[in-house]
Parts: sequence; structure tokens; C-alpha cells
Amino acid sequence: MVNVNGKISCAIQENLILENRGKKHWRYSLLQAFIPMGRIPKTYTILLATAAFVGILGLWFSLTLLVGIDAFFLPSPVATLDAARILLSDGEFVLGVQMTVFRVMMGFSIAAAVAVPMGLLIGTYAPASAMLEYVFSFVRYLPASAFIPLFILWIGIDEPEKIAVIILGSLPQLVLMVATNVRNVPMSMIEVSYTLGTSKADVLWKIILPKALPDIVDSLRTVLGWAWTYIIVAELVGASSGIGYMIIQSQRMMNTSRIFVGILTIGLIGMIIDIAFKVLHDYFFYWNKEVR
Amino acid sequence: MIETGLDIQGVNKIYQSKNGNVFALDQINLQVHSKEFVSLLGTSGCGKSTLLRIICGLEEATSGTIYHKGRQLQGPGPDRGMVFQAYTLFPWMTVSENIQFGLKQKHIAKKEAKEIAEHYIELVGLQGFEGQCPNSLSGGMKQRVAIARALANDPDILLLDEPFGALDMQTRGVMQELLLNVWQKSPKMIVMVTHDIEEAIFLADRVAIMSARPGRIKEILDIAIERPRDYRVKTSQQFVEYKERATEIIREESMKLLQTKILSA
Ligand SMILES: Nc1ncnc2c1ncn2[C@@H]1O[C@H](COP(=O)(O)OP(=O)(O)OP(=O)(O)O)[C@@H](O)[C@H]1O
Ligand SMILES: [Mg+2]
Repeated sequence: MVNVNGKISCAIQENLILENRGKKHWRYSLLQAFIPMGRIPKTYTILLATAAFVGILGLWFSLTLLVGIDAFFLPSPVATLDAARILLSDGEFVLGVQMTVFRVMMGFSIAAAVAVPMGLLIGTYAPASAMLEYVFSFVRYLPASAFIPLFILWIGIDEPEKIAVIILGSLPQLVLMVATNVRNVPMSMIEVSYTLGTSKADVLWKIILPKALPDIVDSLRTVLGWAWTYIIVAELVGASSGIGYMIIQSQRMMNTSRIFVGILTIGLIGMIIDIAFKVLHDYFFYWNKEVR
Repeated sequence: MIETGLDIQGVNKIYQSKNGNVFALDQINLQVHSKEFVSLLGTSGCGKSTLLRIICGLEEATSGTIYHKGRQLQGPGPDRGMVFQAYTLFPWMTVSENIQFGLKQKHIAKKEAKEIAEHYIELVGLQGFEGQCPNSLSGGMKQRVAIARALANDPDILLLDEPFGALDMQTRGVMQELLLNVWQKSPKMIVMVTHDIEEAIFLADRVAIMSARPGRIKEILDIAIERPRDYRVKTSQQFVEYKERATEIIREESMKLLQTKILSA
């Protein structure tokens, strides 16, 4: 869609603008950088993000080592790290993490593959919206976790059941979010495409989809986060592998530090996914930034 | 009925809204010849955009018909290009791709499309910006791209809805001259909405002045100022007279509007 030359010069220009803004802000102190919707240089970002993590870690340290909360309730960072080392040396945990990631990706991919086209149709065509929107509004509120016993009854406790939970949890949400993304495409952009010879049938692909795509990808990112919570719930019940399974086993063995390892692992994976989305967004959707 | 240009016959438009009906256009009759430049002038809310959108086919007239080259118009098409007041460039495409968009819809060969785009980029003075994305352009540059995009598609009719409304005085002046220049190089029918009286007179062969709601065409001024025109004609005696005349008519309308408001209050 975008030729290589165009892309590069656009990206360079964008960088220049960002850099200039950064430099301008660089002259300010950290406090003065609190400009509504302002940007700050990367160095600040890294500094502040690290500071937040160090703060959390510090709080954790002081609660366990200084205040002396019982390790059974709150294991110290050191104990958690130890537990992580033991878990990692034993291949089963790594396998479990892989299992969980696989389930989430499988369920989420299926949900996205169905939900994005559906959301596009619902957002674009009033009859599709009339027919399906209320259905999805209804299904969206059905608690996915409450379906676990039903799914076990219907499809057993193997992988399809876990994947079904994720699909039920994320698909209806995604459909409605994509429909909203589509409705945010300005009508004038569609109208102008008609005056340039685009047919009604082509508008969906030529205008609506490309314009809404950055927002759709944002919706995907948000819903993927929710999918992660569903998989853990699904794995707490009737699973024999995965992070959730490890957590519930650790509860039985009263091994709190292992539970911590499980939870932190999920957090870490989530953060990596988020960063990956952000990088992809900046790379593919550089054009979407309102520079002025 | 005229066989070559645009023929608007008895167009009415009533909008139905929650707070009752809005009588936007009342019996609009207007003929525009091919390659003629007509400005539509009128107070805010008098139905200028509505009329333009009906010509464009984006809105349906409640009654009345519009003929173009003797054929009744129905729905939008590439024969009528439009430049909106709001910025409507496709942000995911570069400047050049935006301009080529309509050509692509017509399946014109890539190489040719690129050459046409280059021609219009030059015409609107945007060389060097071909590869940029619209969000990094200034308002005036965006409108120039929008005009180039509409022109590159070679429509019979170019419809402009306050294309320079958001620009400052200086940029406006430059853009007006640029538009005249472009129009002289590739003449086609232009119907342009504006509420800038000077702009209307400076650009057009005829200025159609609309009355306040419901919108009617109240008077049409023939602008007999010689072409080519540049900014200096704006201070000529002839120009000032046209301006006075147009201002008078519009003032009457505004006063009428005010009076009805006072009466109804
Ligand atoms: N979609 C709509 N639904 C209901 N009323 C509308 C609609 N569009 C326009 N109108 C009404 O029709 C009248 C004419 O609107 P229009 O936008 O054509 O005015 P305009 O002359 O272009 O004004 P401006 O100079 O402010 O752009 C207004 O009173 C407006 O409220
Ligand atoms: Mg208007």
C-alpha cells in the first residue's frame, strides 16, 4: 500500500519531529515535562519505567525483609527467585509456560479471525449490526469462567475446552470493539472515496479497513490481555499442565513462592507482548500520529 | 434543458430531524456551463453545503432533478470531484498515493498514474513532498493535495466546499491564485462554496448569492472582470463595486434572519 520510498521518508520525518519535540522538552526538568499529551525523550521513559519497577521491588523487599511478614504469606524476592531457579531447572515448568502460551495464542487467533471480519461487517452495514450487535452484547456478558463446567461437560478437559473458554471470553468483546473502531472512520473520508470512483462494495477494503486498522490492532492488544486472565482461570480447573495448573498445585503444597513465580511469569509475558504490539504499531502505523 | 453543462431544476431539500423539519433548499434552479467557474455565496446555514452535496450525489434532493450533459444525475461518481472543508486525505497513503487513488480506481497503468500525479503535484507546488504522509503536512498543503487529488481524476465538475475556510488570509490569497492558475491550465466546471465575498468574486465567472433559510438563489452576479486575474484586481474600481453589491444583498439577508429571530423571540 505504501511504497518503500514514501515509508522511509515518512518515518524519517516523523522521527525528526519527535526528536525535535524531545529536544525541546529536554531543556525542561522532569517536573516541567508534565505537559498534557506531551512527549518526553526516550531516556526519560526508560528512567521512569525502571524507577517504577525498582520502587515495587523496594516495597517488596522492605515488606518481607524489614517489616518481616511471614514468608508463607509473602515470600521475599530472594525466595521467589530461588523458587524460579528450581522451577526453571525442572523442564516441566517451561513446558507448562509453553502450553499456556499455546492455548492463549490458539484461542485468541481463532477469536480474532472470526471477530475482526464480523466487527467490520457490523460496523459497516446497518443490517449486520441490527442482526448481530444485540446478540454479541448479550453473549459478552455471559461469564466465560462460569462456562468452564459446561465446556468440560460438553468437550472434556483437553485443549479444546481451554481454547473454547478463551474464545467465549474474547470473541464477543472483540467483535463489538472492532465495530466501534469501524464507526470511528470519518464519513467524509468514505464520501470522498466515492467521488474518486470507489464503488460501495470496495469501500470496506479500500477505506474503512486501512483507516480503522490501527485502532483494531489496539483492540486486539487489549482483548489479548483479557484472554490471559481467562486461560489461567481455565487452567485452575481441570488442567494437567500450564501456569494456572502449576499455581493450583503450589497452593496444595502451600508453596507461596511458586505461586509468585507463576504470577510474575504471566506479568512478564504480558509486558513483552505489549511492548511487541507497541513496536509493531510504531512501525506500521507511523502515519496515524496526528503531528499537529 | 442544456445539453452540455449542469442543469439544476427545482431542487428542494427538507431534512427531517427530531426537532421537526428543516427546510434547507427551496426551488433551486441553476445552470452552469462546462468550464464555467461559479461561486455560491450565502450566510451560514443557508444550504450551500447541502446543494453541493446534492450535486455531488452524496445527498438526495427531496424533489427536483439535476441533469449533467443532458443526463439525470444519480448518486456519486468520478465525474464529479469534491474537495471538502474538512481534511479528507487518506492518512495511510503518501501524498503521491493520495493523488493516484482515483486513477487506481480507473485501473490506469501504474506508470501513467505516477506521471499524472507528478504533473498535479507540480501544479499545486508540492514537489518534494510526494513521499510524505498527510498528517505531517500543514493545513494549506493538505488542501492543495486534496485539490490535486480531485483534479488528477479529471472530473467534468469540480465541487469545492469552502476549501480554504481553515486557512489564514495570506495563505488563502495564495491558494486562490493557485486555483485560478490550475483552472486556467486545465479548464473545467467549478462550483465553489464560500462565505468570503472577495474570494467568490475574485475567482468566479458568476456569483450565485443565496438567501437565508430556506435557501433560495436570490441573485446571480455576472463578474465581468477580465482574465487572467491576479491579486491586484481586488483593489480595482470594478471589483469594489461588485463587492459592495454582494455585501448589500447578503446584509439584507442577514438582517432578515435577525429580524425573524427577534420577532419569534
Ligand atoms: N443531516 C442534516 N440533518 C438535519 N438538518 C441538516 C442536515 N444537514 C444540514 N442541515 C440543516 O440544513 C441547513 C443548511 O445546512 P448547510 O450545511 O447546507 O449550510 P451551509 O450553507 O453550508 O452553512 P455553512 O456556511 O455554515 O457551512 C442548516 O439549517 C442545517 O441545520
Ligand atoms: Mg457548509
